[in-house]
Amino acid sequence: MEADLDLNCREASRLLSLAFERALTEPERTALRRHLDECLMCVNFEAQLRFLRAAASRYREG
Amino acid sequence: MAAMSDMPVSDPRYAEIESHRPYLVRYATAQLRDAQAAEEAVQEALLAALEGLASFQGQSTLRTWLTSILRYKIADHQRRAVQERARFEDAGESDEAWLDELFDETGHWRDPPQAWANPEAAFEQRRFWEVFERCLGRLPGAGGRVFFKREVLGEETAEICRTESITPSNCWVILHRARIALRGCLEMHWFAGEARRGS
Repeated sequence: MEADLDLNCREASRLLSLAFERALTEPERTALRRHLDECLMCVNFEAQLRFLRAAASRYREG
Repeated sequence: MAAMSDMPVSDPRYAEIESHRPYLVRYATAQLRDAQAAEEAVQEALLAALEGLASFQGQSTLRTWLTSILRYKIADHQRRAVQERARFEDAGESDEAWLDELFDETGHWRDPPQAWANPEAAFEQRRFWEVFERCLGRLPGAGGRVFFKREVLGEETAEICRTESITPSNCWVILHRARIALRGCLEMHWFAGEARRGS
């Protein structure tokens, strides 16, 4: 079970994107949090996804 | 494609052809079940008819002749819709392949995302929006359209899946892929270059 909790960046990035589309399950959230605690690259990626969303909505407003 | 107004309106048969438009739109709508595609197919058929008027011998009624042209145009639209659908399905199935370019065998980033310093400052720069627009435009067909609907127009994912006739998981893959592509494009064309030079 322990191994299942360890996400790699590929899986973590998928969950980060998925979180924009649906609520993550409790295990997904826990696993993601654990990964982000250790991985600065995915923390950067998460911030950039938020930036993309903010940029797209600014773009809509013109 | 030439506009109808460029056509020889002096030809009395122009008005006659035009008079069949409502019938043709109903015919195309019944076949395609998509009002916009039906309008397009009819427009294409009428333009083709005007160009080919000389070859119309009058053995059949004008309406029958127009309908036969329309049938070809409808078939074109149906073929395009099928191809489009196939591309969507590919997007789901080739999930692994495009991710392999981004992540190594152990699932680590091949080209790790670097922190973008104060990215919101870019919002104030006109050059940034030109880059953003160009990067949006470069997203591949389905990805570009789905991302635009989701993030720019702010539509709900469920609604997008329904109108695009794709499964939610397919939709998620398409969006994930579009986000990764857009992120990479902005990093390459803005954050790794212009933003740094500008600050």
